[in-house]
Amino acid sequence: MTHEVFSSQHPPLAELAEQLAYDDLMNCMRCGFCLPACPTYAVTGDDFDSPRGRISLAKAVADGQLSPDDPGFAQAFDRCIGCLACQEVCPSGVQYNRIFEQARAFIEARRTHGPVRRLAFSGLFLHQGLMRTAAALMRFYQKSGLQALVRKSGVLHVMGRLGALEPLLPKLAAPQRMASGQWLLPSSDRAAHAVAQVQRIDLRNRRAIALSAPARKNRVSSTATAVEAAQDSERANACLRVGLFGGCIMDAALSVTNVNTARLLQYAGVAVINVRGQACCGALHAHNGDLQHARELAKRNIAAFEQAEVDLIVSNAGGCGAQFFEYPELLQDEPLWHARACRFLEKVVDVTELLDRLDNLEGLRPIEAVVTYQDSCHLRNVMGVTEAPRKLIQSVPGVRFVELPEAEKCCGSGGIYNVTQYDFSMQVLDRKLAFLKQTQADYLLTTNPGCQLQLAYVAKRSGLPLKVMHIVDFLAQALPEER
Amino acid sequence: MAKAVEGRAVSATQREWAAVVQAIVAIVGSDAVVTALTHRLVYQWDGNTVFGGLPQAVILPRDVDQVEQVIRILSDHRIPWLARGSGTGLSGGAVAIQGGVIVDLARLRGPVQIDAIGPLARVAPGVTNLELNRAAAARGYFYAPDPSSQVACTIGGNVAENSGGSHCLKYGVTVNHLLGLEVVTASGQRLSLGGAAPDLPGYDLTGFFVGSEGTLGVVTEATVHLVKQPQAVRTVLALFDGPEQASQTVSDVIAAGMLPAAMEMMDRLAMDGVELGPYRVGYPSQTGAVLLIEVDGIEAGLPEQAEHIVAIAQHNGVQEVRVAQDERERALWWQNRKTAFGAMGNLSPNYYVQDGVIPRSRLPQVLQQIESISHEFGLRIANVFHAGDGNLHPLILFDDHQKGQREKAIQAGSAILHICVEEGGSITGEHGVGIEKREEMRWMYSDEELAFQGELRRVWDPQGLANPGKVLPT
Repeated sequence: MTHEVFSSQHPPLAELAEQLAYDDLMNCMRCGFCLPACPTYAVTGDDFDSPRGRISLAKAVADGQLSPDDPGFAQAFDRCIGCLACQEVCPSGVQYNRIFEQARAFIEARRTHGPVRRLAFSGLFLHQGLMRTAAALMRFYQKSGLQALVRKSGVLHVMGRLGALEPLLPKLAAPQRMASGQWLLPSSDRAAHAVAQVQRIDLRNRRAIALSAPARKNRVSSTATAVEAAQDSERANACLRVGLFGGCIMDAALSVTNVNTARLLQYAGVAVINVRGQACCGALHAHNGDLQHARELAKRNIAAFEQAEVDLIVSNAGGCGAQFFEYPELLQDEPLWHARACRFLEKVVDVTELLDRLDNLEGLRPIEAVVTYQDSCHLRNVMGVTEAPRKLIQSVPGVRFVELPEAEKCCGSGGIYNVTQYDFSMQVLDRKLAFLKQTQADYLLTTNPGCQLQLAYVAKRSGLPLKVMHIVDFLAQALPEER
Repeated sequence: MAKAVEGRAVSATQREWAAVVQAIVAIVGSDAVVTALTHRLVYQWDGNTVFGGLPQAVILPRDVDQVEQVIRILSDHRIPWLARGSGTGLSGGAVAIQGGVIVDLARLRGPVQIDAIGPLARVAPGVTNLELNRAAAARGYFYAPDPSSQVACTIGGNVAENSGGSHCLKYGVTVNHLLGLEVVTASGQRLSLGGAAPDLPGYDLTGFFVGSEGTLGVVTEATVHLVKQPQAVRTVLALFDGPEQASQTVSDVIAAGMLPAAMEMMDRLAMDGVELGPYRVGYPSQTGAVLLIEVDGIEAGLPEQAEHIVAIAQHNGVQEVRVAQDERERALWWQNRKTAFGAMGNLSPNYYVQDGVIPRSRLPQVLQQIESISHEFGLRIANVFHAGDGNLHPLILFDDHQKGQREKAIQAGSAILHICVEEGGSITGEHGVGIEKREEMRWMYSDEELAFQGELRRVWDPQGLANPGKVLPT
């Protein structure tokens, strides 16, 4: 029985119906296997907050049953965190990420946003320099005593949900940044081992990386100052060359994690370069409906990493790594860029996946502690990395690893979800907190900055004696003193 | 926005309806009452793929008291309603074909209470089958009925549909594992049926309620029997040229005096679907049928049983036969099998599943007849069976956007059921009658027998408000 709720040729409707990936919608058989995977359904038990419910609404729009301007339609997709756990368990392979992104793009295109968000999306995230300036201002805010003053003043209460999130801001250390465009070289014996190991790399069946003697041009740099760099580059040719994707939030707020990533990779025998000219991955834009800027950022990254001539592109944030998987589709209307995006993607690897494959971290110092791990949704559901982080943690001597119940379920961070859907995000987090207490862990490790901030927030709010950090920062603590 | 074409309007007038909504909001809170059209749209379907219906409202109570009060109000105002769990049912049992109200029990999911002495468990209706099983496993037990949708389907729904599953060959279906029920009848009466003690005096009302598909009332708690986890399990995967050899193997295993926990079969088209899903086994292209056989019990003798099964399969010309090497491999084979219905989405825009039962020995003949039906209607049909107990699940593939295909699929399904009845079987193994098989009930029962069932229904639901239009033919 079909209900002709919304009849016919409404222009925006036709527009969305065209945009929506109809094949993906049609694939949904309503079996409900996605329900137990969905963090928002776990909170409400209402099918409106389930993937199946959201898909049925998207289908209702595409079929002309429902107006895409309906506030309920927007609400359904606003409430989705975008963790994509549903996609991972779907028997009929519904590409929920496509439905989600297209629906969000449509919804956002019809909204007018306040100046702060507009500035952030079209300014801050597009320009690393601006992001750094913002971070510097933030440090000033924290260091100057202004933060204490603001906290006391009650201004935060007036700010409502944004105010409630203020404690979520990371405590910003003075920037510790890896110089851009310069190689960090490994010791030669470790390098040999790394090259041997990585020959066998096979990332989740999706591609096999062939690294047998890649034909590399000897790059001749035109600038005079680059002579030294060219020599380094020459030496790097003998190693596995990886380009570090720094990310925007990572680079500005958690830059020490990038430095630690490079140190670990270097220790594990690869030559690391902080690739010049890279930008934000564009995930926040894509998930919040700003596909145009997402494309622009994708192109900038593709070009930057091509220029650097690296064997692998290493990401240390699940959310960014997963966004790289979107690049080919994002650029599918531009055949040349699409091909470049595919080549780019073939090189993408998460830092934990690479370190695990390199298997070259012997000599770590012991850390006596109970450690647990929260999956990054996108690392797990899009990049398919689940075992590597757990194995790495257990490779540190002295560590007792405890599995966090429902570690695979989202923490509710979701990019800026915890800002746009504060109440919902906190309900998702409450469930997480109950399990965290069970573990009695000293450390909670994760692989994505958003998750890290969200979980640090809950630990602080609930007074749990739990150190929340990026897995890379934890591992770096175990690196032997540099000689 | 254009006006919605609702299901048949409830009997209440507009003003009375507004008062009813207000009274219910006062009980459950406004966040638990859904009246907005967009929100209701997601509740127009359940797991079935051909029948839909828009409810007038959806209520999401949080506890038993709220359920009771809500149903009282609905009963007082003569508003039809139906209970829903996760909406995974396959016969349209949770679809509001006549409008009315959906009472969604997904929020009644308090912790499973396990009593190891029983061993038994008290379970809220919104707890999923898998959650119950996880809680039981932590204490060394399991809950035997395991419908393929167990990751999502709720215990309340399992009771309503008398659900089976792959392992019911050895362990039996829901009714064999239920000790007692707390229910709210259609007129808002709270009753305790059965109980933890065995063989209670008086009529077996628990048995009567199980499988009533929401037409008598709603389950608010189930007390279920748990089974000690078997000491050991062996799982055998056998690949055959076609269903004939696989069927013969099933018959021979039973004839050899073994009672496996499960014997499951898929034909080529079904395999094509699951292989495109998330749990790929890697079946060779020349395989025409796959058989999954599981034996369990005490460790002693189990390897010999598995070897015996392998030998029987070899005798029947098996292409390849494997015993699962570890739990991971076993889990993969089962996930592959259990996602078969949903995986039809990889092959076709829509599918329609039927649920017939036949005497096991008739399997090859019935399969041939299903193939002729496929040709006759011009629709592809994939086959998944609980082969051990002769429960067929033909999956009829169609495209709803092509005019008339849905009707054809329904007709093809009915034609298959007719064959099942002619072969001495039944029109439903475990999915229930729901909307789709009401008329086919006439093939199973005389008018007098159906009238008698109707009388019994009226005892529980004199006004005919609970899940109207389901189970019995009109």
